[in-house]
Amino acid sequence: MRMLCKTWRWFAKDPHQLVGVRILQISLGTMLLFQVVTSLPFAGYLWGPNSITDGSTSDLLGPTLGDVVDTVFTADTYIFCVLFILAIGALGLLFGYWTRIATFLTLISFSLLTIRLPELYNAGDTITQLVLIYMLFLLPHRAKFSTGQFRVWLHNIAVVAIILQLMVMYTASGFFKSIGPLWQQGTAMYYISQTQLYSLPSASKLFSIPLIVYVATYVPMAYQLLFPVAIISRLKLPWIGLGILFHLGIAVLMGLVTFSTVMIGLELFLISDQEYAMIWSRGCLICKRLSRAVVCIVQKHARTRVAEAEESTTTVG
Amino acid sequence: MRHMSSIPPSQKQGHIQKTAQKWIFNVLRVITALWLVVHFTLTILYVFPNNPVKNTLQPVLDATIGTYFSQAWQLFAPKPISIDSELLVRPLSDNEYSVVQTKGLPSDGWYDILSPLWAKNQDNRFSMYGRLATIGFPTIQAYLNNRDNAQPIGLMTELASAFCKDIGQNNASYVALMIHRVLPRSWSERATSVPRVIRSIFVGIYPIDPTVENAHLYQI
Repeated sequence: MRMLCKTWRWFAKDPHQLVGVRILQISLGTMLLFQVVTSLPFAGYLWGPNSITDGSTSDLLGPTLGDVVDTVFTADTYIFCVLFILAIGALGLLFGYWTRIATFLTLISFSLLTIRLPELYNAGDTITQLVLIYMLFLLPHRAKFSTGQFRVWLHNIAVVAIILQLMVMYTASGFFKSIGPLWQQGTAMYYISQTQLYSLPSASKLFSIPLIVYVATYVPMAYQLLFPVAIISRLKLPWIGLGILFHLGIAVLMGLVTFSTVMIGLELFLISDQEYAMIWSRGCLICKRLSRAVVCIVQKHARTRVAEAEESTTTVG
Repeated sequence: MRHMSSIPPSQKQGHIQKTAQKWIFNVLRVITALWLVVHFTLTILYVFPNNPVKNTLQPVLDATIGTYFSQAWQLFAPKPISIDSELLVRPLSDNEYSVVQTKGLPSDGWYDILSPLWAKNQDNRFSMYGRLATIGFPTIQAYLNNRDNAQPIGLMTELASAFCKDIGQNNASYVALMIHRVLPRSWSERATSVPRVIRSIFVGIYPIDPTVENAHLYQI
């Protein structure tokens, strides 16, 4: 009963992960803006009326509404409008203006593009779409709230939904890896590094060194499988740090830049406001100590130089 | 009681309204919390491999998570991607098409339309080329899973048509499609220079779509 009361208070009282939410908005905004900019020259080819695809919203919305919504795919101008709305939404998320409206605009425009040509999108885009749905219920950036409001409750429900979605993603992925023979043998990363699409030629030789391949195969699998346990334990912050390194590696070696941007944003989302405050204060303390140490070294160095100069003048004299 | 009776009716009504509002919000709180539990229970069932519970609930899962929160988190598992699937295109004019009917496909004039995108992606990670090359991967995979599936064949034909337009093959009316599956060297052969085995799969000859948008991707 006490546990239930505590959980109820956690949801009802104050909004959580406010810093994390902001970081997540920035990462999604950056990723989507990057997608808009890089895809702009190919807009007609990818989504326009004469594009390579004939994807329709009818499967999701039904034939009547689907036909109406499909109008956006009937002219290049409409596609550019969709991309423009996506860019506006992404900018809103990036700079923290009207974040709820920005989330809504982003979700609608991005969903239209993914429905039109699903083959273009990867797991990073799937998690982006899911997270954008939950983000509609978050408190807007700089919103004024009072303790116990219903919108605070909704914000916290959305926070937990995002965390649970990430847990599901990692655990399922880790589980599928654990049943794969090549993942069990520890050579899966060697085989992935053989493909042109997900490899970097300069680094592919690294993946023929057994130790590197075993580590690169087992560590992500273990990381994903243990993720739900690790982030509710004392290992949380190191686990997030490891996750960020892991996704930086994916961005560089496998070229999945947008996927990694979203995932790093989601990892940083997990850090609570209290933990950010602690990291900030410790960071400030370390910076102060470092600057003091640097000043001391510089002063010491200057003093020795002055002493040396004085010594040389007395010798000359 | 005396104190209660002294409260004016308007204030009493306000108090009742506040209590009702509080109750409504508490009910909504419980509903959202229950939604969270149900939603993620269904999500977990949807994303994990088949089991008796999942099989029973499959219609519910398809109607809810499968329709509005569709997701799959295999991510290079259980079998990691290890094969390079090249899409080879041979533009054919009307004359060449009639020759092909009797003498078979020519061995020259084939273009690999995905490899240039892979190379461009490796040169510049901050570009669209990786994604553009990715289109070919699920399409080829879908074709290999079901060779009668018209959807991947249609998409491959569109990719080939756009390519022909891009390189100025205006005389071509047909396009022959071929898939090259470049198999990986096995782990035990990693240090050798054994050439990677290539398996060719002929898809077919299809009329070019002249209306397809120019990709502006291939400068040959």
